[in-house]
Amino acid sequence: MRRTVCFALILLLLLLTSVSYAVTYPAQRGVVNDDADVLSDATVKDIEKLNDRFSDVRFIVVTRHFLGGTDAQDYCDNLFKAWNLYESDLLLLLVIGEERYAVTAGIAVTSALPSDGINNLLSSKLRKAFIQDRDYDGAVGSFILGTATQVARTNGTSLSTAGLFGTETQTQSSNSSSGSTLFTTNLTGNWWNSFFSNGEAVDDEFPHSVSYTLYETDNSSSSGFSFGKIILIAIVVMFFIRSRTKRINKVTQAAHHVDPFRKQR
Amino acid sequence: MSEQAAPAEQVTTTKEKKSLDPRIAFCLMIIMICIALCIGARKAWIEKRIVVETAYAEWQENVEQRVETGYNLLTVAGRYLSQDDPLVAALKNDVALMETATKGIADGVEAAAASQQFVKDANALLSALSSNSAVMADSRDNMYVSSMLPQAVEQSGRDAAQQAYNTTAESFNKGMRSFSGFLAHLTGVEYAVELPENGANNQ
Repeated sequence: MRRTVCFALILLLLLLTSVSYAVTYPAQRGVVNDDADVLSDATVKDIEKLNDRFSDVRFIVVTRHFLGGTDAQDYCDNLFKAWNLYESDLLLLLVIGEERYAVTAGIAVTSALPSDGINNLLSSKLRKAFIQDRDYDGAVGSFILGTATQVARTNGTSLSTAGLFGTETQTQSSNSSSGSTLFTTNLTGNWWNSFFSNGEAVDDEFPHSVSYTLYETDNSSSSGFSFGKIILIAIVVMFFIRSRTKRINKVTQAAHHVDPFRKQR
Repeated sequence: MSEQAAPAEQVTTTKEKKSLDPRIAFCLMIIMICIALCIGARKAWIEKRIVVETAYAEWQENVEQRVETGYNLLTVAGRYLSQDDPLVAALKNDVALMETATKGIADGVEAAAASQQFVKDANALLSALSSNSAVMADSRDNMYVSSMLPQAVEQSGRDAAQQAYNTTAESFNKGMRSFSGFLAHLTGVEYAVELPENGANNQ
């Protein structure tokens, strides 16, 4: 009876975990998944080249025309999980028809940027080009270059962006001591950063668009029961039941044990 | 002189075997037969019910596609028409009702009616947008309104899944009117909801 109950509970847990993954997402096809077909071949190649040159961050770009009512940030977060992206990955989602975008980044990326760094980069590098100018190549290139540059500066990594996204010569050397403190520290909060920001301040000029905050994911964190945990729980429960059953059997046998000296009386 | 202990009197008692009253046994047998019949009927009709629910799930998928298309169309329409526009409001209402079915909130009757109406309302809205000069001036939205969204409406508007479900549900309900179906209904197997076609309520 107990075993049946335990198995039923384990099955229920398995069902619960399977329900949470019922939504399907498209399979990943490389680092650029231009489903909306708005990016040029040159931009796609530049993203791939940058990923080859710069190992601190891997940029993945997805474009869609519409999301069918799904929130862009939720979709981006779930896609990040569905594609098993890791701490050094940054997923940029552009929803062309809805004029929305979202970013999900791993912990290694966000820790190399100041607080709200990605929001500032989205505001200054991507927003206007994406919404007003509809220069999708420019928006993506500008944002990716800005992010890569900031991360390289923080990590002290050498980065060469020569020939990428229309730039002539731009090299970020290691151990650079110059540059605004905007990119390496963020002690005073958003208002201070926006004061020194290179881009326009976030305003209501584009009422149909919303900028999203980044999503931080920790590679070591887990959400809910994994299949392995369920198996482990099942093994522990079965071991417990068996050992308890054996103890009960031993006690029962001892109670029925016949005293050999009793017959002589 | 040795005294021999008199053997102890062996007292034997015989237990009287009690036998079950034949009438009670007969009643028990009838009850067990009824229980067996009910269990058998339920088991058989549960399997048929699963087939109906599978067909319902396929129809729900079709409705989900329409809901997504509806949201996409409303997103584009929202840039050129006000939220109070009757065409926008009508489509919003259809989408909201269809969502009740996809989220399992309602049994699908209202959603089916809304789903039938969705194609007409979506086409009406597309027609209004395509004649809007601001839309025609925007190459991207013009492409959505003239090509991508009409295709999506046409594809999601196919009613094959609803017809297939209704056929399955009708056949199931007909079978449930038999004796075994009656027993299955007593044990909790529900009749299938038949979805309205062409705006009529078949219930």
